[in-house]
Amino acid sequence: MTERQTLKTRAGDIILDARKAAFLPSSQTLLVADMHLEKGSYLREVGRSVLPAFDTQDTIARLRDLADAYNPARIIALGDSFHDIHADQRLSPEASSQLRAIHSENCKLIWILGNHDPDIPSAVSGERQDHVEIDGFLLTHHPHDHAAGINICGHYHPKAKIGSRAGSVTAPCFAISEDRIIMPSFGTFTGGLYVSDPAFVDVMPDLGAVSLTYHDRLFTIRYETQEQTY
Amino acid sequence: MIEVPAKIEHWFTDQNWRIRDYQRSMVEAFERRQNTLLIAPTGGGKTLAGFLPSLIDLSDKPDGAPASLHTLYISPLRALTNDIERNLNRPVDDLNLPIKIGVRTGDTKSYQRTKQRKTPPDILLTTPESLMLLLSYPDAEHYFSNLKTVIIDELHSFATNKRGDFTSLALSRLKTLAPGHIRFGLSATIADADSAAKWLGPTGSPAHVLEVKGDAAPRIQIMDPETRYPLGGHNSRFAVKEIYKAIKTANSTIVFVNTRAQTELLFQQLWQINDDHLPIGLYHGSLSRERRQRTEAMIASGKIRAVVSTSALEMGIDWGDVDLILQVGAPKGVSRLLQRIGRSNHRMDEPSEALMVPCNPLEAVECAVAIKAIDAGQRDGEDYTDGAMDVAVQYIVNRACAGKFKKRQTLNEIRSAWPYRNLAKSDFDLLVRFAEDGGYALRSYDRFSRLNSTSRGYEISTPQQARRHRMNIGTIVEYAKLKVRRFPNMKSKRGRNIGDIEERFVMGLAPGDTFLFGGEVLRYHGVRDMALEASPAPKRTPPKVPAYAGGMMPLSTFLADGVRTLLADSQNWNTLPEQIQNWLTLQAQFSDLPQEAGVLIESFFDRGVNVIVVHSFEGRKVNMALGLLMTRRMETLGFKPLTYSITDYALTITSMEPVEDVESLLSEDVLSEEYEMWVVEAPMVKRSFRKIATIAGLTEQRLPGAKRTMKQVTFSTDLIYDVLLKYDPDHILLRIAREEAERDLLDIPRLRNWLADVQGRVTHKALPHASPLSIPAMMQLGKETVIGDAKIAILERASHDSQAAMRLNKVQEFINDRETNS
Repeated sequence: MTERQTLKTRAGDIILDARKAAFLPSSQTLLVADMHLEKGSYLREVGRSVLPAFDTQDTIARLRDLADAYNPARIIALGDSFHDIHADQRLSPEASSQLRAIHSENCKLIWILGNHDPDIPSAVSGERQDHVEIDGFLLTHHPHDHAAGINICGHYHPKAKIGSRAGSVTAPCFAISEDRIIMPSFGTFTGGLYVSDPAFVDVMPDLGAVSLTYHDRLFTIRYETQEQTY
Repeated sequence: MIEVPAKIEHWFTDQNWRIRDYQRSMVEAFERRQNTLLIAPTGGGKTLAGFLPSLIDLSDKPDGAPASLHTLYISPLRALTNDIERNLNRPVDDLNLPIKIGVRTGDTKSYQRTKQRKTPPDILLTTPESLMLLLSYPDAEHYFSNLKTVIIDELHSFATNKRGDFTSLALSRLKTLAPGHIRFGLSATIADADSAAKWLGPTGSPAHVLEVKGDAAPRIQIMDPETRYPLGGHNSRFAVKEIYKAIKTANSTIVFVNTRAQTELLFQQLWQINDDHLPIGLYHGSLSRERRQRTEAMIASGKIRAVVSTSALEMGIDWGDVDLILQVGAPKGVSRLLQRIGRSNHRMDEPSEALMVPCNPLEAVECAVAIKAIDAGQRDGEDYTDGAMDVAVQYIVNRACAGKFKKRQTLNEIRSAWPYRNLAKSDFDLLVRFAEDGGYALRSYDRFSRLNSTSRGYEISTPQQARRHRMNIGTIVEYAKLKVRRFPNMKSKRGRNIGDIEERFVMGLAPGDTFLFGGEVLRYHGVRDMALEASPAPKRTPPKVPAYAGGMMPLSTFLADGVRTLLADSQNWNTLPEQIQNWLTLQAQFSDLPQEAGVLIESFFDRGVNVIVVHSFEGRKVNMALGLLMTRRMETLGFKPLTYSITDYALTITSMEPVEDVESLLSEDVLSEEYEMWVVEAPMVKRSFRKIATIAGLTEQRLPGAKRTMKQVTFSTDLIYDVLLKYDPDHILLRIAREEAERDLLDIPRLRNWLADVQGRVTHKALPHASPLSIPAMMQLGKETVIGDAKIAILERASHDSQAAMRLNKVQEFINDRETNS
């Protein structure tokens, strides 16, 4: 059973799911970020990796599982859904049709455009948006301040390392502050940026807590000092 | 006795040498066309014995005879080939013999390669990898057609591993191309000459064995330092003053250590106290070719007083007048130690001098056991296994690069290599199919289609595939590496490559960090164009040490048994330094001594966790496997194991709950019940999969035309492993990976025997705290492996702590609010 946790924010409830997704109950919206579809084939093309990754199949299969579980009114992908602008040429027909199958009367697919995918392959259905605002939630790819509500964004692939005398664990995480939640990357084949990295600290100097996703479990840890979490 | 041409006899006399009987026997063997394995102690003129017949045969070569390859010499070390070239050219030049000698290794420049392929030398010195590359060209058939002799040097050092499998396949191919040639194997003294002879001869006709006895026994001592021995770890700092003193007493010393990181550390430590400015050098495989060759030349010409080295300098024919060998750290094997000691006084009749510097008490015991074994003329046993399948795949593709082949013929060729004598037809078919299209799950990817099946046999699918294959020939799989580019200072624009370094280590560096490389402390600037850029750091900056991979040498079974025997009986302790004897006495008083049969297990409570130490003395692989299985069982039984760590001698497990009935954890059924579970998850299998995928050509270390500016992407073979497990669980590579993990990473056969032996003979001591014998094992803490569920426990603990703190904060907020409101 996958763990979920409800986070109360000033814009309303948000459910964090250990499968690296989030759900907004008030608007029945499922959120995922940074799927990087066809990253495996991209790496192969530029000669950096040679094995088939099956990463696209896996990512889409997991997205379908989530859609089945939440039965959302809409799914919003927070950018970098496709790894590069030529991804559509490599997207297999099965993958396209699976994506089309997710998009339906009852469930709208909305693609927020990211830096990797300023354009979404035309074979893929669904709206294209720069950003979306629902209730008090501002959904973007890059962080964007929202005066009264909460910004939910992607782009940074946050991960955190928890140390102890018995060893350490590194896992992708939701990075949470007063007014912003940065989502973990949903893609099967993506790396991460430590929340302690100076580049991340610049973006979220007021990081309050991390919620690590590990083996279908969620572990929320307050982010206080460098000594405890790094 | 056979006649040697007078001018060659004279040349020997002029050098104050005489031709030895066994060297003449090799000339006879050549005349009789007899495959021969020459076993002789190091430094006995063994290499010359291998070449003498060829020199004689070539000495009356008529002028103007067409250039053709007469003798092929294969060495496991490329450094050796340069050395041999130097030494062979002496008689050739002195006697003005019409013999051309060429070297062909990974270091050979491309214009030289082209020249060699056009006009072959009479004698070609090469490595197994370069030979396989030559065999991959269509002209190999012509190139090798007049071959008379193949000489395989230092055969003992690689016949039992994958590189040996690889070489045996190349030899087999040569036999097809030039059926008339013979094989000479040269080997140091070994325990199992019969198997080595079988390996050398084609399947079914073992080579003739010519064994030379009678080396003077080396004089070996264990250093008894005035300082205290460290109780664990492998750092030689405590003895560096005495190492330096020993270097000063000798003319020329080689200081052997066991890992590359240790060479850097010790080199640094020696220079810190080098008040006499002795020329002390550094040598290991990560340094640039220029630097290695420079150091080699300095040793050969006697310009260096000491060189700190890894096993890279273990072999060679002449390192000048080295008169002292220092072995820092445990020897790990008797044969290895002898090989190292043989580097000094490279003449057979004089004893070699060696001084051993163990770095912890158990290493001292190991040293004493090794010395005793050498005195008694004993050697480690060799372990011949069936040829590796991933290597066979590589061979099949290599064969296809050279031209079309028929399956039946190639299967026969492979089977005539002794390690592959039992290769099943069905397995061979699977391997060919894998080379053809990658197997079921990978079929749709062009990349994996390396062979085309035609009516006239199999051929390589595209020229790109041939190119890709040739760039990745070999069996040595290394972590991705970056060049190290050294700039004289921070602002300088002109850098120079000084070696290479594991990418893994680079990922842990931030700009400004310092590290030891090539004997100096460097400051890291950044990575550009696939190179790490750095400049010398200001003096007295504490460095991070490069984390070189693959440093661990396995402890030989023979030595492990010896250590246990020595410990068991205090009568034997007189060969140990006094400090170590006292340490053992303390162990006997506080707990117990491990006995020859059975196993000693100690348990105690230490800093908040329960600790179990199993003193198996069975080597890292067995301890690793035992750790995986025991912790799994402890998890089932609810003892909440946290971590385990291993040394060659012991396995240490920490757990939340104490274990009373330790013996039950060691019952033989762990190998059936827990083992099945392990096979499914198996981090070890993933590890061996990575190597196998590389050797079998599924993924590669070097890529043609990889863009230099591209960001380094660390590719996860783990992910692919998972994918294959899901979509193609019967994939041939998965099977090979499982088999190999069982044998090479975990040594399940050895574990099975050991478990059977200790049944009913477990001595369990519950102690108030760690015993002397357990302390070295405890010092591994911090390097331990966290068990699967323990990772969850760590996260749970952290999140509970965090939630508790949040609750307390809520209390505080509540009080604050109440105060504000009131």
